[in-house]
Amino acid sequence: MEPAKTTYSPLRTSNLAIGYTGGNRLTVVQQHLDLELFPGEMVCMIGPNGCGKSTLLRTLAGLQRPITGSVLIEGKNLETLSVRDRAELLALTLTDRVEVDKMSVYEIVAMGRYPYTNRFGKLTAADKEIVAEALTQVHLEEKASRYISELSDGERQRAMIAKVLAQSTSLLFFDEPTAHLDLPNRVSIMLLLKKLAQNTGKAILLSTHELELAMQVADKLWLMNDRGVRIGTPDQLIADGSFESVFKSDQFFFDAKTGRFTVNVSF
Amino acid sequence: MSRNLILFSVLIFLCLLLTLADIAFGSIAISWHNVWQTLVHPSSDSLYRDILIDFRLPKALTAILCGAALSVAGLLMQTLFRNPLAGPDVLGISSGASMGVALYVMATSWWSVSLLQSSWGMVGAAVLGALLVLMLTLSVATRIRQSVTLLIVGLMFASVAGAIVSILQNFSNPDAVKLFVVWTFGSLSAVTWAQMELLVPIILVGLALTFLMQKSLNAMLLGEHYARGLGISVTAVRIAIIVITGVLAGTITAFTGPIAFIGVAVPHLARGLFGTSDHRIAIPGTILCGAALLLLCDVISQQTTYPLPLNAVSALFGAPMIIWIVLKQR
Repeated sequence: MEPAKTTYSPLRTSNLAIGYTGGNRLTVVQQHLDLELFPGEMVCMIGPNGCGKSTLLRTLAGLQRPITGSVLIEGKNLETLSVRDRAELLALTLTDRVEVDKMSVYEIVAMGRYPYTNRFGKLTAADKEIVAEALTQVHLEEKASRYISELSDGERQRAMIAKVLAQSTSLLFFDEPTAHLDLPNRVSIMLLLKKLAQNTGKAILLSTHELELAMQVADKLWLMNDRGVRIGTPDQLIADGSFESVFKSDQFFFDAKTGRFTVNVSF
Repeated sequence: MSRNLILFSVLIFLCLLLTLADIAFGSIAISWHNVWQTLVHPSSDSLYRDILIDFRLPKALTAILCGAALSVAGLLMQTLFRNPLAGPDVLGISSGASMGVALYVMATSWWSVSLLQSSWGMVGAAVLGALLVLMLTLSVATRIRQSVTLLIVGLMFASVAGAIVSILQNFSNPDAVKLFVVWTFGSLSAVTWAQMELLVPIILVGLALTFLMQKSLNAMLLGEHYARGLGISVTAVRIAIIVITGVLAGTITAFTGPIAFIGVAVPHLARGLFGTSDHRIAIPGTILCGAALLLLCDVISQQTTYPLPLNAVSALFGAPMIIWIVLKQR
């Protein structure tokens, strides 16, 4: 079922070029990007290593500057917004593993309220309610008082998702949320994010290597390789042969009929 | 919360008790009765007045300030570098302060002796020396992300500072060298009441600023990207941490000489005791634990006929604590 399409889009880019400068050299990873995210929609970014998934996510989040073009968040140019204003518009998790000794799940999730609390981080009753709700949404309410270092990898990822939810933004970004997880946890995290998009109307963008999983749960895919980004629903991208061309290899091939990759064993 | 309240009460009581002990015990035995009489009537012109009011009381106050300041400086460094072994001395801040003081003492000894009497000069030189090393370490830190590398760099800066001090000593007159060497032993008894008027406000301002930064410090624990994602201006926070650490550790080191291990060990003690890394609890906890531990070190160092060097006592306590931390980590 297609989510209701509105003209309103919380995130929009126009003629965006992304990349990085190392020393004096400018490396453009992707260019001419016109991207949009819609409320209640879960978009999965997929592509081989080095195609710029992380760079794009970090640029959209304002952690690094675009080379040309602009990122508009709720109509405002990201580069003109203060760090604090950005934190009220978008929230994200990164691949950086959080290694904090003696910090409880509740304390971490409550940090999501930092853009709104006073200098001392004092939580109001409303803040506490939002934190409790975020914990419930990721099913961690019973582990709220445990140290984050005591959690399993899957629970830890759910705690980071709750922190992002507590930030009460309309845009949520996740950089490889299923990395380092076993299959049941990968599926449960993806389903959790899908449900969150549907129930809360937030726009969710995530990067992942879970091709088959993403094809089944994503509302839309951003299929990336070094030549550009193809956008569409999984069905559209299968039909127009995008999968085959993006993941071209001698070692495996994409079967459009079954929607699966098959390893070329005889190779 | 109630458990924290009990812990805070116990620590405050412990600090008061140790302060009294620090004042009451010393190389000259004074009965409790006389200690009490002198403290209650400080204006009386007795023999004990000089010892208690002008010597032991400022020494106890220095122990509290020094323990608190070095421990908070250590806490700030551990949060900034997200490394459990960071501390003012490990990253070369104390060595930088030593270099500043050595330069000042030896350079001014060629010029004029009257400049040496100025407490501003010593404090300024130590703060500048500490900030210099900290800036160098940080400029490297932005390029290298691995904390182990950073510790090596800090140690190397400390070695360079030490080498410069040796060269300076080689060219200085013996009086200046002696003045500097005595300073490096670490002592809480060098601070006069006049200097206290300078030391107390600087340390209190440093500690107050740390309290104001607790939210940003918590966010920094998650890493710089996450902190930025939560609306924290990471660069401003980083600079603030460096300046506060430099002022706290630099000022204390100027007055007491380098005191080892307290800055690294106490934050762990406080976090372990209160069971949280939340700076809202960890900052006051670190202040109290630091004050109590250094008072205890000072009381112990006074138990012999000739007071033991404070550095030796703090190392005897601090080094095993660091070993325990390392073993507990892995």
